[in-house]
Amino acid sequence: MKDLLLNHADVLIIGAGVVGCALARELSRYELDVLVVERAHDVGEGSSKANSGIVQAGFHARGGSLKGTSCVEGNRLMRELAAELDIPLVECGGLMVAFDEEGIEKIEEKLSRGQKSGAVGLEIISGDEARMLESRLSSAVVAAMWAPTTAIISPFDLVLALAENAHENGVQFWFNAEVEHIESANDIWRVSLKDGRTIEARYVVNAAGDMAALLDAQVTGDTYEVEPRKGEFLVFDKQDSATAITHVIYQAAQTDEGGTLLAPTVDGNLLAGPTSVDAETFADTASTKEGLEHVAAVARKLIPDLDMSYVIRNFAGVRANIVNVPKELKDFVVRESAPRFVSALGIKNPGLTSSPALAKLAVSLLEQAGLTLTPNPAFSPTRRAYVPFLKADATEQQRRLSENSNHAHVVCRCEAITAGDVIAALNRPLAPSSLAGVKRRLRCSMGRCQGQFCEPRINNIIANVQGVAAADVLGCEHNGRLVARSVK
Amino acid sequence: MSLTIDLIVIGAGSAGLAAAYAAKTAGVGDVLVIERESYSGGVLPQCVHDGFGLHVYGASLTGPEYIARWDKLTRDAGVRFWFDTSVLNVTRDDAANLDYSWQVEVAGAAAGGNTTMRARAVIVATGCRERTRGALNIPGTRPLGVMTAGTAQYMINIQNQLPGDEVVILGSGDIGLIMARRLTLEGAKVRLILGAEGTGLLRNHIRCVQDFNIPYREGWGIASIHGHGQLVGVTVAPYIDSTFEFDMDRAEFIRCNLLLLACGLIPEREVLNTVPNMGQSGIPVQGLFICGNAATPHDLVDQVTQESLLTGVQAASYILNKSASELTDMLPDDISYILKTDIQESKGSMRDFESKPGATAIPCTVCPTSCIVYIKEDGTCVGNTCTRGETYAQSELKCPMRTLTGTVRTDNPSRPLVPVRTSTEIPRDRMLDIAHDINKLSVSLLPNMGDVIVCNIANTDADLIVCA
Repeated sequence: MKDLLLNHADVLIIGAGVVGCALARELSRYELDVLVVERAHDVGEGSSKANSGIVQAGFHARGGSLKGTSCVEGNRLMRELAAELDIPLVECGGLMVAFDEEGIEKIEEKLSRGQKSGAVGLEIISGDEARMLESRLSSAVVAAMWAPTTAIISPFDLVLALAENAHENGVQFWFNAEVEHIESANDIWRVSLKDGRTIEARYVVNAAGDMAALLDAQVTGDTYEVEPRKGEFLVFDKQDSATAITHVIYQAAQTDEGGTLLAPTVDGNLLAGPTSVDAETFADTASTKEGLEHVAAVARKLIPDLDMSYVIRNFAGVRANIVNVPKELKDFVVRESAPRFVSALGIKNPGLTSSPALAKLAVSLLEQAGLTLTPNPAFSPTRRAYVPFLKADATEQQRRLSENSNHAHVVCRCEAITAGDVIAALNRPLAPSSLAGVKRRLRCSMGRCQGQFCEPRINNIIANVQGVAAADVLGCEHNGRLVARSVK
Repeated sequence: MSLTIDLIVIGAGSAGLAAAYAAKTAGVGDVLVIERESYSGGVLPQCVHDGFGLHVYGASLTGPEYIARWDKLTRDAGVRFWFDTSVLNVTRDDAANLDYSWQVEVAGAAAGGNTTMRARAVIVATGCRERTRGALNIPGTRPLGVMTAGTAQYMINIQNQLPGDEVVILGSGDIGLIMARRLTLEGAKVRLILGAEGTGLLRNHIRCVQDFNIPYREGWGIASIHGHGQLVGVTVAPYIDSTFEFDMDRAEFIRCNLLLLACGLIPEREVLNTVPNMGQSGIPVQGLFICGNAATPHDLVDQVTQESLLTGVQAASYILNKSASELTDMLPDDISYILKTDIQESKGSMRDFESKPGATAIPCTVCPTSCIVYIKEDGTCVGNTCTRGETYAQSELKCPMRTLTGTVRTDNPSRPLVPVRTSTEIPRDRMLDIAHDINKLSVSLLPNMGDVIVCNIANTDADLIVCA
């Protein structure tokens, strides 16, 4: 691919969340200069990192809506993507459980919604049948909808793998690049960044998540109002396979948004959440006592013997919620808002699942708007995940040890990550620039000790690799630092 | 590569060293200690304060001094060490090899990647970890600047890295109190220590909190954490009597950029999750022993040493098929003495006792007996059980004396700090000034234990000496 000079791009994608990265990877199939600009210092820093990681079956949304159909299609595409991009996807299946007659009506309605959107294999089963699948499920469950296509994935693995594959196929990424102003001039979109840089692109896709509606308003008078809506989660430590929860468990008693659920993760943890409450701002990712108590109460309603002492973390994410549309008409909006300017608005749950389908939809909108799609002969659909040292085979271990004896030195004991793994992650394409970036790529400090042992050590490794002082290593978004200064 | 060893000890902290020493001295042929760090001592090298060994040695040693004794004893006894090596799991395989039925999978350069070794017996001396913000489930945002007290202690005392300089400490356990003093001496401002109840040792309440007039509230907790990226403050609130609910009408916002959590320790024995019928239950099975904080958190290292010596003897008894009492007799007298010491000490904060009318209460910290000495208006003392108590109490009233401990900067990047202490006690009220002076010092060549860095520091008659 050509080098990107003079800040020109054929297609500019705003936002490196799951939708932006899925689109970038989709566009890298063609001979195009594609640039992704991201406000944060890494991919997937917004809602894409703070969700349940469920590959939804597609029964939540109104039947036949874009939310429903893109979810069903995305669910199918996600399996291919996971294989191509070498990321774990566990086909665990989902249970939406009912505790009473009203609940049964609800799951029957969900089943009909799912079928209208094309979801396959949905069936109503008895409470006992549900307990055959998930033995610790409450004895109060009287019936359940079984959704065999419900699966789980690591949201950050997905976003990173999409971005890495897109990057390998020639897509450029700019981080710390926040869009300020968008104007049209002679069939070209001129996009100014807050840091003063300007990009000219004939086609723009606005996948800016929480900022998407505000950017959309710069190119059209007819946009949507998007407000933040918060969801809080509890993370449980890994448990023995004998006692682990192995299915996604939804409850029918609540609306789908308020529907706190239990979901295993591909790494063996368990998530409980989310809540759904209006937030002050999109930056308001504070968990609350009320929210966490609600999540714990629902989790124990589903699994009465759930041991709350296994909780190792809480977190909250904020959804982009369209508010100026009646609830029954609410949907994802992916449209050409102005000539050659495509916006993705109000992408919340099941946006992670829908993202591959929404990316294909955005490509077709760009093509209709005149974008020429010439296949890129060099496109490679596959990407190999990094294998941590202790999971590598003996030959590979010896090869890495001959390069660097640090490869065997364990820094994160909860997740079994070595110093060599951290160094390797820092030398990958789209290398992380922060402690948080290393953490999401390797899972180090995500375990039961929550980084209390490894974080200072990883911070030192990053400082060494970057050639900076420990106090100058970026910790996380918003300029957080682990080390303030030297003591003396 | 498959290695067979009589006894593998996991962890070279105070527990692992004492257990390995006892087993080796009792006659076990080959004892290997596996340690993930590049040095022995576990948490003690970062515990640069004094107060260790009061029970078993009758002396107030710093952490590095205490561990230096055990490091030497263990090496002299012929125990082998693998450093920079982590144990991944422990399994039992009865079928394959009856003598060496324990399998220990390790990773590290010394092991050439990861390797499984076989042992007749295994002692798990893996210590404990601290309860985290996540385990406490404190609501709020997730900025940097929230960490356990031990993590901050490692950063400050080993790495020369200060994570923040306006500090709130949750939990009045010993390490929280110790870190309040450390941070104060290093120039940070400790704005508040708060906790549900006073759980630290009485001597730490006096020497860490009261000595430096650090604000301290019992019955308070953290209701929420604030800040994006970096911590900017916490909301603190009192608990409604005998509940875990906060009285939010009395909540306050406290600005800080560092929140330390000293909220309890969790024995760390996940390496045993692969042992059938064991998991987290902590019940040992044949040939498997657990000692120190991995068994149960201890208040004092003296207790850990004592218990781990016994564990080492038990492991030797299992391996050699001899009685434990017979093997105990093989230990030198000074070690046998440790086994016979009764180790108990008072806990609780200053509010647990009050001065009586006409008398000032002074809790004695000279020895672990922790007498409360009352000095009457006429200058006479009651309550002390020995003369040292009276001397101490009189001195506390006129001019309290303390040992000052800390670190001095080196120019060696792989070991940026060496621990130091004053050779004798200095006036308490001069500690902050002298600590400030010490922080400006640096040494070029790595000094040895006992080296004098400054003679007669600040005309106190005390020398500043290296203690590692």
